[in-house]
Amino acid sequence: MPGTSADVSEFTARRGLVNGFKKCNESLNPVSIMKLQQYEEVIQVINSKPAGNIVATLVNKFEGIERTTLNSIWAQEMQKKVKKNFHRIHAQDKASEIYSNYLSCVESRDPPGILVKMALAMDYSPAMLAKLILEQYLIANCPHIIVSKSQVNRLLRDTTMIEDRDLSIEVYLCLLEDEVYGPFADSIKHSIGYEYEFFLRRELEKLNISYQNEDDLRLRGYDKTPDIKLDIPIAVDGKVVNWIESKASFGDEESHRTYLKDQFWSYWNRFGPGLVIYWFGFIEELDEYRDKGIMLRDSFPSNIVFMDPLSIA
Amino acid sequence: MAAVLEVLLQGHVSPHHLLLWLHGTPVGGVLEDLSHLRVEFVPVFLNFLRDQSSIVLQAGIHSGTTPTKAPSSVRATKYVSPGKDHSLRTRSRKHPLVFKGKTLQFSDTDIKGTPSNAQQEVQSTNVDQLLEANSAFNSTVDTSPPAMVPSGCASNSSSPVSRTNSKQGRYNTSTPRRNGYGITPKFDSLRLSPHERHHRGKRQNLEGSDHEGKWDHSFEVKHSEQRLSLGDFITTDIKLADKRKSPLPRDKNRSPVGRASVGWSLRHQEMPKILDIGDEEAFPMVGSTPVQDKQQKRRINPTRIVAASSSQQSKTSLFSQNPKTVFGVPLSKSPSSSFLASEEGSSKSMEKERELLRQERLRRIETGEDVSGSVKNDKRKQSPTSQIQQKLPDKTTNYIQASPDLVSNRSCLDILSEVYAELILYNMAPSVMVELYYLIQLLTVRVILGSEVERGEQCDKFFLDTPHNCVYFATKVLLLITELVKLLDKGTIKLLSENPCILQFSSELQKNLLLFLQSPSRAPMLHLAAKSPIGGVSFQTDTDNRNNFPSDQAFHIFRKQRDLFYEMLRIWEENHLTPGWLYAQGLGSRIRQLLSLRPNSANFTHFARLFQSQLLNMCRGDDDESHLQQDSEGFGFLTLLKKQHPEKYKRLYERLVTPSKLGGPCPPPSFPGSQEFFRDFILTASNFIFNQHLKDVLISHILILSEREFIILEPEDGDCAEARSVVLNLRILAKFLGFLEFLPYQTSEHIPESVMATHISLRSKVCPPLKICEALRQCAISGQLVVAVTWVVEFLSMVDPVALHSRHYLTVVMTLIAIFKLLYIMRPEESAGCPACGASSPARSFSPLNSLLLKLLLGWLFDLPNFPDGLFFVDVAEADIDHWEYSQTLQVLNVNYKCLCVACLRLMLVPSSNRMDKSATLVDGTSSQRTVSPVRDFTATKDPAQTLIKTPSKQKLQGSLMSPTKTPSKFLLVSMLESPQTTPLKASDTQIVAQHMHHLDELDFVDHQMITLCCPFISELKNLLSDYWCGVGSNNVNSYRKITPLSASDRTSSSQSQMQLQLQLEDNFFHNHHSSVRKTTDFVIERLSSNVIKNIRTKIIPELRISAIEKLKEFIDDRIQSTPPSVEWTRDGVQKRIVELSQEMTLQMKTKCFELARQECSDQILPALSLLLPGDVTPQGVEVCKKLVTRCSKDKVLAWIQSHLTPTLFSKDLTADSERLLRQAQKAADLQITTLEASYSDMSLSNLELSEVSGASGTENSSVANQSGPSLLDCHLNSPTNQPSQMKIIPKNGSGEIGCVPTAATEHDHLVPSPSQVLTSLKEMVRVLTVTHTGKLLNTVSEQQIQLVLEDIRSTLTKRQDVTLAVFRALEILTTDFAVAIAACVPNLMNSDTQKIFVSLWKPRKDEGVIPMPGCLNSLLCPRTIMLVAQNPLASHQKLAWRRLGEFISLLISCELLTPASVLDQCVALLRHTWPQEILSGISSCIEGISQTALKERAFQDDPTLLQMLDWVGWVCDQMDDFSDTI
Repeated sequence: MPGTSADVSEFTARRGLVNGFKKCNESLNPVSIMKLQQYEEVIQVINSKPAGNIVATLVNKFEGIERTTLNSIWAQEMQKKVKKNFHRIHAQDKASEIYSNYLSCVESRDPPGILVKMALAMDYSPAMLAKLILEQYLIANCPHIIVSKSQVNRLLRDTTMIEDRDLSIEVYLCLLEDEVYGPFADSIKHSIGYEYEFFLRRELEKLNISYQNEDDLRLRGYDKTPDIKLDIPIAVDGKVVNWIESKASFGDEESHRTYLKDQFWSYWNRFGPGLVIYWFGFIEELDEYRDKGIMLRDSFPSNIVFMDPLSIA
Repeated sequence: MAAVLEVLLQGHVSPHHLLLWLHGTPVGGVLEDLSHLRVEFVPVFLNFLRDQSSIVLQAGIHSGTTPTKAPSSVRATKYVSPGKDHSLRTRSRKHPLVFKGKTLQFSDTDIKGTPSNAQQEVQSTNVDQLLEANSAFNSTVDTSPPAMVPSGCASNSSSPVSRTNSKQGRYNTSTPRRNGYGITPKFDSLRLSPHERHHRGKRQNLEGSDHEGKWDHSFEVKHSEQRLSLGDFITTDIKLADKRKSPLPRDKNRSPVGRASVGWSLRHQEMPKILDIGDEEAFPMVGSTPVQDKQQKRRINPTRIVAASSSQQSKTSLFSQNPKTVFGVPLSKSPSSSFLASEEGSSKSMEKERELLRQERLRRIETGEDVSGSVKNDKRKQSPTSQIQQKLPDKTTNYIQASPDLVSNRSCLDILSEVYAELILYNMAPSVMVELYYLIQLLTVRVILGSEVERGEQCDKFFLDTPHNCVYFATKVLLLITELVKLLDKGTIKLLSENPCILQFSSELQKNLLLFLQSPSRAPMLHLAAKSPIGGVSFQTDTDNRNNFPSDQAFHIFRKQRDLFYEMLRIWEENHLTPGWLYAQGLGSRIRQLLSLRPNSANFTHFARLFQSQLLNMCRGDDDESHLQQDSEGFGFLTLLKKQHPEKYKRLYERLVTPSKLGGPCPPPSFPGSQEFFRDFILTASNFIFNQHLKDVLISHILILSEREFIILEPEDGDCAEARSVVLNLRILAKFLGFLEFLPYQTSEHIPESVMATHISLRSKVCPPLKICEALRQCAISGQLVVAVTWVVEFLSMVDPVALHSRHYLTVVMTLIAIFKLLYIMRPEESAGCPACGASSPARSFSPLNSLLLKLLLGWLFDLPNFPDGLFFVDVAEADIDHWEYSQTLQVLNVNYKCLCVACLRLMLVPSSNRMDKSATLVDGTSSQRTVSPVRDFTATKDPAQTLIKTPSKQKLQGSLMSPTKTPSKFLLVSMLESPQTTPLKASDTQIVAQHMHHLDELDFVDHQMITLCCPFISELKNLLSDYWCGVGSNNVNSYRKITPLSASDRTSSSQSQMQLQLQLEDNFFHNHHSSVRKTTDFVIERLSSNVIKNIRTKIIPELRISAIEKLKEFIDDRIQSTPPSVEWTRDGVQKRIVELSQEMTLQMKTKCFELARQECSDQILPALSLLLPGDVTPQGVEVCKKLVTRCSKDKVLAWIQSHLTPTLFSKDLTADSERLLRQAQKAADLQITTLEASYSDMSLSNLELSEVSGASGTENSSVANQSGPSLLDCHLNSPTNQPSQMKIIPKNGSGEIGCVPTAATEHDHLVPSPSQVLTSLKEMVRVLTVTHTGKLLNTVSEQQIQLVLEDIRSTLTKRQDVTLAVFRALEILTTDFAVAIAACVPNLMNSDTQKIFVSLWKPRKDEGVIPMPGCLNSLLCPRTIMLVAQNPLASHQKLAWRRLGEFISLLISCELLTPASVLDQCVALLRHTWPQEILSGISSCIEGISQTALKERAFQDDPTLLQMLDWVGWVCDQMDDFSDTI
């Protein structure tokens, strides 16, 4: 599992990266938009499973690219992997096999970290594995109640409530280990998303751009709500922008397609052309609907043209 | 019928009398007896002309035995529905391209299935391929034309009689009278015996089916295709072989003129031909590399296509000039040629042409590389081509040149032309387009030399059998209808004026046309709704939000439906042009999915509305092909150009939009562009429920739009544009409503009469979805029939074969015919008309272009395949219609619109008639008053009703006049301005200054662009003319200037694109706001500019005028006194002075006006907007609107000033004044003393009046203010209540939205680590602590690091606003975990400092804690903690860890973050597990530590039981150890 050998100095070094919104990082001028080809190279490196911290390896290998970008790509790759294997691993037979494996490890008094090691061996998310084991545990130990998802999630959120002390620490270690899944990772991801959205709003307010945010829109009964709907359109790079969607992730092909289908086109249908900010960058080739009205960017636009009816008098 | 014609041609009856007779005026003499034939005369006459000319027009096609398909002008348009009369052509020439046109296809399963038909088809295709065979086929048809012509039928059909009759037979049942169709004077004789019917039915199946199903768009094979078919070249080749034997002798046999012009014929031989087969570019050899010139031309690449004489080998390339090309003819560039559509360009879309160009460029490059090395190759390759070329005929030699000298039967032709022209002018022929088309056909007729039909004994019966006569006739008629011709667009007129025949035959006509062309054209009103770059329909909260749905589910399903719909649109946009892509296959399943998502009426309503809005959105811009360019750059540039240089844009537009070939003068209705998507959606969905909802939506929208009244105060301003857009929208809506309405009844099969009768009686009981007659009446009352008729025509164009026979629709059709008769192509003068028609003088009349549009549209409708034949000529009285409804409508029409009698019409429309028997017309005029024609039956009864109707309509007028929305004061104003004090302005000026209420019908509402949009088929005229031009041009040189548009690099300056961008932004702004925002803004603009203009008129102008007059007076007095005798001399001086003064005045005026405008804008806009705009518009939004209003109002005022306040206006005004002043001064000079007094009194008088005026205007102003509502005063009054909600600034400081976060920072410091970052660090720390081996830990984690993280947490929570609840919760957990992890894994770092930091974080907020009392502290002592401690096997480590934990918990208890009870609970829970000895003793030591500390503190003293409990637990832990030992 990546991250096992990470030392504290490394993560403290991250300070300022996420925070400064790229402004603080002028020395190297790393980019976050990349060509498809380069993206594929990154993926290749990830898939080659280099020893040690993969993100650190990536950062060394792709010097010109933002760390956050690489991190996001890696996280997305992890998600894809989990999605791909989820059904295989969570199939009843497989799940009980894994659970009995775990039990035998516990019985043989292996030191804590059993599940983390198992996950590493399986190339699977530790948190997801922990969840699986927890489910199996509940099924095995509480036969009289039907195990509900919310119950499992509650236990995941507070591992101290897990009766079995071995399982408790095992699950806990898994959650700490996992950077993609689990309540901790979720909180972090959620927070990052919000932080960028917040940043976006602040920038808009600085420029006195009036807008409705998602909550305003929902209150007014909109059926699709972009993060920002501008009251008065602006123009960026000569294109009109009516709405802005903030995405604190890397825009890869898969996620972009999904977003297009579920969100961007829906916004476009209702509000006209708009802007998507992938704060952690995107594959350049995906910016194909710019002319049609879905523009991609990786930062807050600097060259905004405001609507001024008097300018064309 | 023939009798009437005979009488006419023999001169017994003058055309004038004939027309009067036709109109129902009793004319004595021969015609009296023939009155029963009156109704039938017109169709018979029209057909008579066709028959007359058919020989020539036919000859054009098949000259003798060689079936040359001559270009263009060969299609004899048999009257009665040209759209229906050509099954043979369809059959015999099945050009594959013919069916490419997008036309309505109701059944995809064509009737071609019938075996006989299919076979025939195969045959005909084969025939077409084998051109020889084709020639044989055609010749059988044509060898005996004389035999067929007398029967009065078209000769281009092998069995015309039966075919046409069968066609007619279909309509027997409901139309009591129908077109006589030549041979049958009595209609009754048309009623067929069953046997005959049977026979016809069969024929119908054989022939009719072919085109019925397809709505026969194959009619009038496209010119270009015709010309380009390879057969042309090969067959002429054969023909040439035939000709070569004796070309000259034949010539000599011709008339002396012909012989005299041998030189001509030689010259003629050099005449260009249409296309050169030798042209390797156009017809490259299979496998050959085209030889190319390397000359690079830029942008405009004129390509002359010049034919070489047959002996020469020529090689003309289509795209570039080849050095080897023989330029036989001196090249003079005709200005018009640039407007000619090239063959390629006209038949292909811009896209294709560009593609061609691209290929061409590629080829050039290739050849450029090739040339050097492969000259020999080229030669070798060339040779086969040249062989072919040698066989090439020179086709152009073969045409007869029409000559005025060879015209025969002039007098008869004169009579015919006069009658014909008047029929056209007086709205007696149903389709003006068909007639014009026919005339141009005659004009451009080309008959191949030697192919003339031999004149037999029937010679005298044929008047149009030679091209000479045809051209003579055509020019003659065109001259008579010049006024009509002048209404066409200038391009067409230009082509017409340049037609050599016109010059030869009627220089007068040419002169007229040229004169007209020189006259300045109206400023182009470019109103094309730019295709909005916004693709979707905006979401509007008041119609689309949750409240508009019965349930959440329905709401969310509609969201899905909406997105699905747009997804389909995107798929369609991407794919529909790809060959092989099928709509039903590509989208069918999605459509079904969409509509079955929820079969709930609310969702259907919403979806239907979305569908309709999107339809309008997409199809509005579509009308104009040039806007189909998808790339927004180009689009942007065009829009910009349009705004900045409308004239330039227009020229470009004309150049690029080549007349599209639509298939004759009366093409079937089609669904061009995006309409196709919507039509196919309906067809593919075939969902009854959806259709019903869509119909509802369409109907309501149509009625709303149609009932909107447009009263235009100032013709130039934007109101017209809005009305135009309403008209265009209505057309689309009505077309789709018609489509839906008649969809269930469409059939491709012929309906036998018996069945038809049943259908009709059935359908007559059903009410149509719209009360069309009522809508027409309403529009007639409000003076905007042009609105109603356009959409009604669109609606009816979709009819099925039965509908128009049913009562309701028949009534509508008869009403439309009545309206049709009111459309005059000239505006009758105010006083026009004899007593007969002048009676209803206040009535309106259509402006010429308006009537042209309606004439074209109605004519098109009357000629559509499903329009009953001959219905146009049917007598109303005999039609089975709702007479009450009809007469009501007719009354309204008669009250509101001027209906002229023949006499007046003639006076107005036929210029020569002024000279001609005026007395006769006058007599006729009076007599016509008395007569009652059948048509007028209902008008006769109008008198009582008229008064009845007049009143309400008048009231209505006044009502609208007084409505607060429109200034009621304009009339007042005008009259004030023209008060006696000021001399009345001249007529032309009054038009400028004076203002009337204009109704759309009277205005020049329609322009040429609109006509082209609504009637694209009008371009067919241009096509005919330009085809002729391309094919024949005797002395003119045919040079094609092929415009090759090369994409220029984007050189639009930044300012231009900025402007463009701003316009787009505005567009988007309104798109995403409620429509009322736009309406309000427009309204304020309109009001404001109008107010400013009014102020200018009432204040500034009079003031300045007075001062100017004052100055003038001084000047005059001065002059008169200094040089009393010479008034003339003074006058010159005065004139000069006037010019000076008026210039001065204009300048002053302008500055004053700008000042006024500026001031008004700054003062009035904001209050008005704040009041009027909806409450949810933000202050910034209001500001933007304000700026918009400012700009637009200024623009409007400026435009008004520019166009109205000109020096000329003032000088004219002042000149008039000066006359008066001069006279006075003259008097004064005579009688000095009196003069002084007189002038004084005059001045004082005028001053007095003036003061009255200004006083009046003052009061008037205030009244306006009161009426129009938001005056400044009102605004102030209202402000306390309105202002707060209006101007409320919506606070948006970011925090508070995810407001549950307990700690809210007051200010945001983005330099502080972000929540996610802190969280990540914390998590990482905990992970490292728990995972890393203890031995290494001390080296990796330091106390400072721990403290740094904890400090970060604090500052993040206190200084950042973007902390979410999730983060907060995670922090609660992780800080607890962190503390535990430190205590358990690096106990020596858990010193009291660290402990204090933790506690300070968790303290209540009042004590500056940031994560107050995290709940998870209650699980500090959990098995997991113990496991953590146990991880390190070192006993000393564990011991320390337990101690630290104990200390920490004690601290927490003393700080009241943890209660002893909770600790107790945790301990008890712990004991449920079995623990190893060392762990248990660890736990017990920990608990003991806690209890001991607690003892010291006072906290536990109040709670002895708790203390005891703790003690007990500690003891138990110790004992357990013993238990385990014993066990």
